[in-house]
Amino acid sequence: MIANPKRNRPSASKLIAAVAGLLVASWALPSSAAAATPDQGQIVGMTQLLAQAGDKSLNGEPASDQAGAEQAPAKKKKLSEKEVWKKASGVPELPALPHFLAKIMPKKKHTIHKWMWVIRPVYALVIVTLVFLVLMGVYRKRSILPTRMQTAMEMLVEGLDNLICGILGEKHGRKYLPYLGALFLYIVCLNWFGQVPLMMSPSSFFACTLGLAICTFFVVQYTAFTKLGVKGVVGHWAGDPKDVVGYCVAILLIPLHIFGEFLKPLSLGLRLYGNIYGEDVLLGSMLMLGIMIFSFLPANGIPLGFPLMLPFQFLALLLSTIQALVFTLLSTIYILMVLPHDDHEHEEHAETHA
Amino acid sequence: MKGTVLQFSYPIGVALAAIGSGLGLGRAVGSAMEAMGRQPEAAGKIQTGMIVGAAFIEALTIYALITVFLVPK
Repeated sequence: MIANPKRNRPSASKLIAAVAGLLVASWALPSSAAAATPDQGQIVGMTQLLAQAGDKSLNGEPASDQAGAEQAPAKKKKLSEKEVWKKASGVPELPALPHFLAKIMPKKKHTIHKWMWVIRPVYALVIVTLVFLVLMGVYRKRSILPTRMQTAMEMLVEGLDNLICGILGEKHGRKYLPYLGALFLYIVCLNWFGQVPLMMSPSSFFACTLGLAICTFFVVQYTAFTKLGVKGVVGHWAGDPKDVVGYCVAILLIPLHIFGEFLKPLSLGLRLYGNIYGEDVLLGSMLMLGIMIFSFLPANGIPLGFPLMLPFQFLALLLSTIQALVFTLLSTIYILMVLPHDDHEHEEHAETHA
Repeated sequence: MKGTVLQFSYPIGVALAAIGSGLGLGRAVGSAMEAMGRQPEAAGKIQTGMIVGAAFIEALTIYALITVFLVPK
């Protein structure tokens, strides 16, 4: 029997309802951000604001708190909340849970800033737990007749397998597939969860991406030293000298190569950090613009904002995936460069013979 | 440096980096399009390579952009 090609396609009305629902729901973020800012369009660098809240010279208690105003000593300048916001002119960021908490409990701003170094890894841990639970659930319930979830996961793993074994070759590719596949999946989830409301993506902090790059650095160096041996590694750094000229140039090449080895994880981390943090700043700026559009209205502080950042959220999702792919591919290529080269010649001969 | 003309150095630096990456990306994507036209059945592989190459070239502009963020105000 010929399967009906229209069987699984969603109806037109459902699609229109989904798009309309998305457009309506996208007003939630700018409106809540507009309600949270005292002066329209001042989603300022919250980290700087929280840091200045801890700065004693600024005295960042809101002026609407009259009891606090009377108790303030006469020497210190008392700044209203609007002035504090204007002073903390940092880079606009996408508001997340700590920012909203700081708005709800303004007295605890300093505590929230002190605890940011805990809040950020907590987000990463939450993401890891969710991903782990999903994957373990799929693995436990696996069967010969797969469900849709299992098929999707199998497609994912097979795609990663093709990608990595296509570069590293069958033998080595399978050995490094767990690390590189986990790296790709983890970075994609880290980046995507930044778009979930009230969450920050941990990869918008340089510490997180540098840590991931250092993991790759250790994997690459461990591979190099176990596969090639110390003599092989130093020869690789010196450019495999074969004659006297090679040995003379080797003295120049070794420090250059060592510097390059340390530069690789730095560039890996900076690339991912810059892309994800730049997307956050872009979204924050668009959010600010969307709120300032309504500033011509007479009543100041209307909690309404135009969802100007909607197309940029889709762009952020797409670019995050590409950046995760680039990170994984670069790690693969770094591992490829330290693997012994004659393995590849043998494999190519085997493929041409087969 | 907020009230002086020196603060123009940030956008000018990023703009120069953007010019370079624009030229590089144009060349890369142009070659990819040409290769895809020559051999349409290899379009998938060429497209993957093009995306990866574009991400590398883009990263150089991002490095210039980061210097704007990493300077404390």
